[in-house]
Amino acid sequence: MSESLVSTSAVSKRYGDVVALDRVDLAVPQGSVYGLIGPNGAGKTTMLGILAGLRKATAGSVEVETASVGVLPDTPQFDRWLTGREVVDLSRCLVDDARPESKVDEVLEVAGLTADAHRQVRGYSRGMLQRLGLASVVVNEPDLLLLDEPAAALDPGGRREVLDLISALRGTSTVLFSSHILDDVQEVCDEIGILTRGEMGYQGSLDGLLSRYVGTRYLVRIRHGHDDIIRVLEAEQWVKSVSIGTNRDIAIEITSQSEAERRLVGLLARSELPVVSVVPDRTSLEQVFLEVTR
Amino acid sequence: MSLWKLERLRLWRTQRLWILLAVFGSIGVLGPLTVRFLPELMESLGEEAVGTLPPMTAVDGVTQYIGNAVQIGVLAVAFVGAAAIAFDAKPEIAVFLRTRASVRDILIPRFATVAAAVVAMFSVGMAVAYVGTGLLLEWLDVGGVVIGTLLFSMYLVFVVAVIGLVASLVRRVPAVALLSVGGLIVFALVGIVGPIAPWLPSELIGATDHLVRGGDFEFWRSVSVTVVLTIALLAVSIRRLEVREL
Repeated sequence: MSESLVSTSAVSKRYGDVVALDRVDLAVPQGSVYGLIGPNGAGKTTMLGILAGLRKATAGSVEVETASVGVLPDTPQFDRWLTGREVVDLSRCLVDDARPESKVDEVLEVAGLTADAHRQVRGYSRGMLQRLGLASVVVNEPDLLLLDEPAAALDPGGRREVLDLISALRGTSTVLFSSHILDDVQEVCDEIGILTRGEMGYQGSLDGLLSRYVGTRYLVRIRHGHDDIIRVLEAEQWVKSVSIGTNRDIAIEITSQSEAERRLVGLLARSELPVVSVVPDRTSLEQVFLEVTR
Repeated sequence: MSLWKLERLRLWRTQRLWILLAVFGSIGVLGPLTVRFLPELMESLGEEAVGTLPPMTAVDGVTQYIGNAVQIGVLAVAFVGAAAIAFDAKPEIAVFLRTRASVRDILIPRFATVAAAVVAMFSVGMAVAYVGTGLLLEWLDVGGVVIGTLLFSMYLVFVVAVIGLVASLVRRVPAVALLSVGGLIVFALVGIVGPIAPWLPSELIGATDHLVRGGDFEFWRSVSVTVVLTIALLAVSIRRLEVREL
């Protein structure tokens, strides 16, 4: 794994008696797109606030190996009487006014806001504000982007645009974004952390997490003879349980992955039943998420 | 686009400059008008009311303006100032600013721009009141009016600094405005009950009246305290805002 650009050690945050974060160890590899996921109230925004320096941890340590950090809140707002271009230009000037002004127009173009750049922000839609917020972060080419729910509450089109913008940052910046939209995380993230009730339930690669759960179940589809095959399967020691799903697929819970791989297909062939398909059950991030946060 | 330009645009595009001009300009017009026509107004209410009035002088034209500026003007300053200075009122806007600039760099342009606008609009109102008084009643000593304007302007800058302090204690704009006004009233009341009045910023409120009537300049103590307090309030505001979490 690459070196971490952001790391925390046993970070805790309390608001009175409420524990928002409880000894969280976070490690965000340099150059990765890291998804911090968790249900509402899990502590995602608190964690981002601490990493951005906007909140202080009650205990633990935080190391951010760069001073070049861009932060986008979940519902970006700006002074309503500024134009979109003025917002991005203000961002540029506050961070580094030596950066060429042409960069402002470049990022507005990428964000799809060129046509509205000279309109006051008061007339912008929620999706446009989100893209403007992202443009005002990206204009400074920060090493690290902290994005809080960047695609939440956007319509499908707006969500697509924001995800594409995040994907485009891969390789040039390290992105840490929080979300409870698991499809978004599955689409753009290399690494994930699952926060639940202020604790880190899992941290690592997305593939690693999914592979933990893949293979515990197989789905078999046959034309007929369900009862016969169920009887045969239930007699096998490596089969934990067999059930028929709503679409008549046979779901086989297994105890041994290797045994299933060696014996399942042969067993079906010997039964001479008309087999349509045999597939390992596709584990979605949603299923895993529910498992981890249970 | 610098933070200084941002504040100039804020005054212009939010119409707040015009609100200040309207407030101070209108009370500048009303001050001398009230004094000139008060006897006629009271007479329309009945003979007895006129008998209870002290005789009006030209100085009252300017004094009336100051009196209204302390009440209506300061209330307007409190809301205009709070709207600009309470930048933590909207956390999302605060995140934009605070992750790109220091609190000091954010606060000082806001404080200075609001203070400059308030002083400028107060001075315009004073000029209107002075000319109105001259045309309707009698021309006053311009030296006393100018020095009085400077001293009251110092008080207004202090008012803006008080708004800054309150904005570091609470976040919402109406709360900042009303608590600032409340704080100024308490400050003024303190002056009534003790011998410390000559040291208080509120002493500067009556400076114009005193000077135009030919009184000696005796405001060094309140000037010194006002300057020191203004700087101290700003420093405390910056410190408090720096440690405030979003």
